[in-house]
Amino acid sequence: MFKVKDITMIYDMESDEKSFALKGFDLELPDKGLIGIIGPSGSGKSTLMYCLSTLKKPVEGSILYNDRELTEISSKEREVLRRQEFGFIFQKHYLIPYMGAMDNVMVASMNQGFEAREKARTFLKNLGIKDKEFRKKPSKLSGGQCQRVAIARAMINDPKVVFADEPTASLDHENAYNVMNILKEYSKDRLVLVVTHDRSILDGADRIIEMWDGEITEA
Amino acid sequence: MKSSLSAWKYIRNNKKSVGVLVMAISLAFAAIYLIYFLLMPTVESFVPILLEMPKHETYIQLSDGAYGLDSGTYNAIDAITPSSATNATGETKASDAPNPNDTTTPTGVNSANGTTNETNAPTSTGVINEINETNPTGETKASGAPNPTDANNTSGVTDSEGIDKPSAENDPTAQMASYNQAREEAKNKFLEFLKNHEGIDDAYEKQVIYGRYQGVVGQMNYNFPLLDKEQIPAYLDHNDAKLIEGRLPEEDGEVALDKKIMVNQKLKIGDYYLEEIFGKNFKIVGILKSDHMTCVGTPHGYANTGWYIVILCDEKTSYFQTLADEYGLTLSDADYIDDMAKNQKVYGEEVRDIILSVVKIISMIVGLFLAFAVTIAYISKLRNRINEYCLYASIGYSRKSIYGMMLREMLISFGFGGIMGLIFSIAISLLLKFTLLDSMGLMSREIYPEEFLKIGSLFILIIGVLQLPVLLYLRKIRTIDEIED
Repeated sequence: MFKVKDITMIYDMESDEKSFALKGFDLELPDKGLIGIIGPSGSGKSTLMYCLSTLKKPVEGSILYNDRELTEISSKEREVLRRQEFGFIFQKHYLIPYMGAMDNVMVASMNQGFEAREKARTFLKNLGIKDKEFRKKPSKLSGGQCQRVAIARAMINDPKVVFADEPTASLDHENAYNVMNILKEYSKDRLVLVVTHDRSILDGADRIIEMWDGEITEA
Repeated sequence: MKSSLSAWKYIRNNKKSVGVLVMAISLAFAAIYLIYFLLMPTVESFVPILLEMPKHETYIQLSDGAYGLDSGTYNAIDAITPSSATNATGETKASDAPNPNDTTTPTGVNSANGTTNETNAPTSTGVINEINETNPTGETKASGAPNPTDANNTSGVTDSEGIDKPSAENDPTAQMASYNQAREEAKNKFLEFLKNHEGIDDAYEKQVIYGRYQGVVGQMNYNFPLLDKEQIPAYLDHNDAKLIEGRLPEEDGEVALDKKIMVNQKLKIGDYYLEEIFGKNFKIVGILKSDHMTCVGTPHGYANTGWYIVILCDEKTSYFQTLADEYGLTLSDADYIDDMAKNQKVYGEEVRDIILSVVKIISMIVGLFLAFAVTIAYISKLRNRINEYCLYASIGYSRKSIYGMMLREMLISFGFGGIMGLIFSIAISLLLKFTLLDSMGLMSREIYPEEFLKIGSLFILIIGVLQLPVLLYLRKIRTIDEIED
């Protein structure tokens, strides 16, 4: 699905002391499966994920997604890709504070009709959110519940790729385990990329990519 | 596939803050409208007096010069005549007469604050001619002084003590009588011209007093004639006025007033009209109904605001300059002309323009305040929601979609605010009309749709101004990776 070639990302381009987040490496990712990207803070794992998801554009190199060169597409095409084919789970849940759980899922949906709401309802239920909690605002939900709502939001459009950046960082062990099980289940026919520095959550991963100082050390 | 961001979600989930905004907008709407609504009755109520009444009657006072007489001659004779304190025929010169055209006189609008300037009030300018020693028709003066036009006074060559007097050609009294006779003839000739003119029902020289009409701001005074009782039905007929209560004036010192004036001045039949000025000289005996506040009365001695030629004209003959040109009068600043042209000028410059300017200034201040308050509220809201917008950008919504949502939220707030403002405005204005304005005898419409359109335009302008902070914040929207960096 992804073919990355000689990808380089530099922060502070204007500065004398350039910071190389990605130092020119190649990588191929399959159409499905749970892929873990692991490494310490500053190793470039999040930057790699953001480049793959079009949120960032590398300064050099090529990223092919289903044979489309992501570094050359327009911002509108990038938006369409993120909207239709990618799903995002961020380190913080970024739920909209004034919306209930259901509306927070529906806000990402490309369809606002009855079927889409039923689908959101099913997702939330499968993720352990009860009916009575559908209208609860994030401030009334636990951290684990918020993250599960964020997962439902990421999946509502049936994305081909789910990008999860430290999805369990703010969760206790039990919730972290549950979230990873959900992602594992979803990865059976989709690609799920999980960025983390916690190797223990990647027990069920199909592949683990280790990064260190902007380079892949083990894939 | 529907993929736009919903504006309703924010509104549904933030009823309190949106409600405050909507209420502020609606109150601003109502405030602007109600200012207009309260000021417009003054403009509308003065229309019958200033634009309709002049289509039916013109009041003029002409100087001797207008008739081609040399007033300098009169003044020279007057200066050496024993009875120089008085005008021999009792006729008041236009230049000396109380002039209703200036702000001190009956047709002038008082200052915008609506207070009557007592030092300029007709009473203080010698409007009541009862104390005058003059009499335009040569009737016996109120003071009982001898009238120089009497034969006894004009023919005297020798007085009772047998002292020789100058001959007629050198006698100033005789010269004055001759001058006055020429003036009377000129005036009567002109009156005949007017009476025979097409479109003029009648013309006569009569005493007048003034009708007083109090607006929400300002006051309007206008002439109405004191006629012989036989002339009154024809006068009312000319003005399409009808007696609806009481009776028409029959005895000296009676008046019949338009119903709106009665309500406006809180008068009833049996009261004395403008008692504080005219004393108990004019008793109200009837109430009239007309389209242009017709009033009429009978004279009481010389209690009046002057002698005027009253022309019962029609719309075509309501511009006196045309009649003067046709007759060959030479008008000057010494002539007082209260005709359509003058009233149109007063209406345009002293009533409509001033009040509409006040409305515009107040609307602008309220509009600016609203724009400022809403801009501050919106900037605060945008700042609080920046993470939300960043999320939208991250999950694939374009800035255009995000801007569309912001714009729709704004339009909905202003839409609801406008609708509520409209409802408040109509409700409050109807309440004011039926409680305050009607009781003041002021004319006003129930609603002023044109003002709603103006306020709507103002709101569109404010929405336009608000796009500036919105567009600035749109530039600040990043994707979540940038926030986390």
